[in-house]
Amino acid sequence: MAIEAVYFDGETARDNKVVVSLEASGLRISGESVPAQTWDLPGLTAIDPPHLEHPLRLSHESQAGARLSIRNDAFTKQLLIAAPHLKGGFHPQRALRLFLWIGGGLTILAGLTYLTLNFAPQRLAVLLPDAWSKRVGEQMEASLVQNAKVCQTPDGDRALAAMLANLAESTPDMPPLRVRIYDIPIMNAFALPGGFIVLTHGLLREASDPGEVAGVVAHEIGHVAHHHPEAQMIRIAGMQVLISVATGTSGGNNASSLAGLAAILKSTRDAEREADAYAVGMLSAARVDPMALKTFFEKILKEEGKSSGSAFSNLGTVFSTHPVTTERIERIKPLPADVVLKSPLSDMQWKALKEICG
Amino acid sequence: MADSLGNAGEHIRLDYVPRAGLGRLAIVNFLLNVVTLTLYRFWAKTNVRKHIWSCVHINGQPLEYTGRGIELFKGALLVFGLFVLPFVLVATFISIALGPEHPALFAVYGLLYLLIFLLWGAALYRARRYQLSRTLWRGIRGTLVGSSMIYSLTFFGAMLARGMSLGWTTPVLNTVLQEQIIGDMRFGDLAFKFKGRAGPLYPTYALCWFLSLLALIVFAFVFGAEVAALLGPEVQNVFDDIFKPDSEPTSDQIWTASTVIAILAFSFLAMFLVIPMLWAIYSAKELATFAAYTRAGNATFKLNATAGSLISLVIVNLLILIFTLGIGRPFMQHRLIRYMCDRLEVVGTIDVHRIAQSQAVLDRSGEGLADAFDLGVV
Repeated sequence: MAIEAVYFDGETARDNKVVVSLEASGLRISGESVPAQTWDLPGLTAIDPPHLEHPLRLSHESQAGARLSIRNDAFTKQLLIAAPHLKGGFHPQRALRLFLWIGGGLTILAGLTYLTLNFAPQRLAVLLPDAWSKRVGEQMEASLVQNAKVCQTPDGDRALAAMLANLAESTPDMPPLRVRIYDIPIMNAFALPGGFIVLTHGLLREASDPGEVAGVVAHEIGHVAHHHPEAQMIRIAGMQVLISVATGTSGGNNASSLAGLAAILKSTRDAEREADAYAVGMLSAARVDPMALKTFFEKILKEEGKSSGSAFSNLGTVFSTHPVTTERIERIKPLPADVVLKSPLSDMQWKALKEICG
Repeated sequence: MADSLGNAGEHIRLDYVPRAGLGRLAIVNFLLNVVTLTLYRFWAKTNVRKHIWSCVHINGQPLEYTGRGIELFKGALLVFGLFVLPFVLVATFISIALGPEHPALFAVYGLLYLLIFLLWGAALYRARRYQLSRTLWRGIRGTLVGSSMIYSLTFFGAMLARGMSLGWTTPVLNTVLQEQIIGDMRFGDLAFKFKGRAGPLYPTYALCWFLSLLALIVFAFVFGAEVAALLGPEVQNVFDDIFKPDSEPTSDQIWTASTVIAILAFSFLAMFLVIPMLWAIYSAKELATFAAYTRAGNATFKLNATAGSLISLVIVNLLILIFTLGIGRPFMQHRLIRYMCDRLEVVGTIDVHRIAQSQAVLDRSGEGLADAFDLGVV
């Protein structure tokens, strides 16, 4: 069967009328203005899958630029029987190549994710120069407390200093710190890069015993000692880079708000466990009853149970960033009976601390 | 089809001949995009173009799209690695070393935005060049022969001038930009020419400008009255009552409250719909005028664009976008291209037989900048 078709040579836009016939060796093409040639069937490619009202367009590997355009349904049908690969559809080789490219991309992304979220932060945190973490911590503290007032009274400041001194007494390698109490009603405590620890008025109000406050402070000191806030900051920064890698854009463009998030996001379970262990060690060394921390954790757990109905009431409380679990509570054990316990503050000092926000 | 006897040229006729399979393509693309965290988007875009290009028949011969997903992927990787990532890394470093509120961070982002604006035109130009060089008709491909940087600088300058003149330089600047890009356009060795003044665009521009101003004033008035009512004691009391815990508002109160909210919402919506709709009058005029200013061979172009048809094109496209949650995006492109094919007429003839293949070197990757800026080019 020989039919008329149009041939484009890829050199000019001239449409060459040709006669095409299907033979055993392939498609034989001949015409006045075209050198006679035969396109073998395996080398043929359909530009798009055959479709009614659309010409069947073919190219051949021997002549990359040339195109053959056939408008003859009967001939097309015959050709498709002889060369079924022209029907299109699934192309295993192409699919494999695509799979490799995308799979490779996703693997790299997964590797980067692991690196930035799990592997690198804690290791880099230790290497971070103090001056850097101090600068960042200070800015984060300012942006987190907004315009809340710092609670300060001469007696209250002295009481706070005394509590820290008591804790530090038997823990000589305690990192340098700055603890501040802010007049914020919700109950919260957090440690920021550079050794900045923030307590809220709400937390002081809930505590019924100086040991409870000392416990929370010791826990936050534990975070500082283990460089958790710095690690968290690096993790968040890494996340920003990852988002930008994944989307191919410059990400949210808001490094600052993301860095602020570092303090709000849940810390890892391991970090909490480490801070708890540090706190218990510190309290025991200072002969402060760790059971007070336990009592305070139980209070928090009860508080959480009460408000679990609404997501909002949990936000911004100490428990959302450091979720208290029964597992964590059970790990806190009383000191041996022969240890003489000491209160971290005298009654007078405790009263002064409680009244520090007026 | 035309004969081969070297006559003065052929008349050119565009038809959009749809083919089945676009819906399937849209769904498959969507699913693969989800599975691959959007990495498939480059191949998705390519498949859609292949489909839509093949529906555009010029004198019976469909267009052919020869671009490949991997080229877009490489383009995006290149721009990301050389342009985006360094910025992100520097910004991250600064936010860790100097703190998240440090002025240096704002300087870095300022520089990034400046560069983005400076390169915006280049992104458009390069995307257009890539697409033209991947578009074949009768085996011949197109291209842009000029410099994307010159276009980009013009584009940047135009952006500034437009802002400073409250928009009034828009017709002139658009004409200049169009002249640059059309003047650079080739199909094979056939050059496109663009010649014409911006003057005839001004009456329509002025009409739209003043109508928008009027609309703004009306909205500001309605809005002001609304806000005054909201702040007034009467409405305030109603709202206070409704939002009191355990309140059981009367139907009158609910009626008042919902009327206030409805008018507020409606005036906002109207503002965002009416003003762009007004500008469709200008867009239609500009499209038609620019087509008339364009020549190729012995042919000129005539685009029958009207404000009404543009508005319905855009609104239906928006509805498709919203109601298919973006999955139907290919249909938006399909409708846009069909609109152009249905309304574009080529007057005169082009000596198609004499057009020789373009000798321009092909880019090996494409549209990286456009992807980074999320320009959403067709």
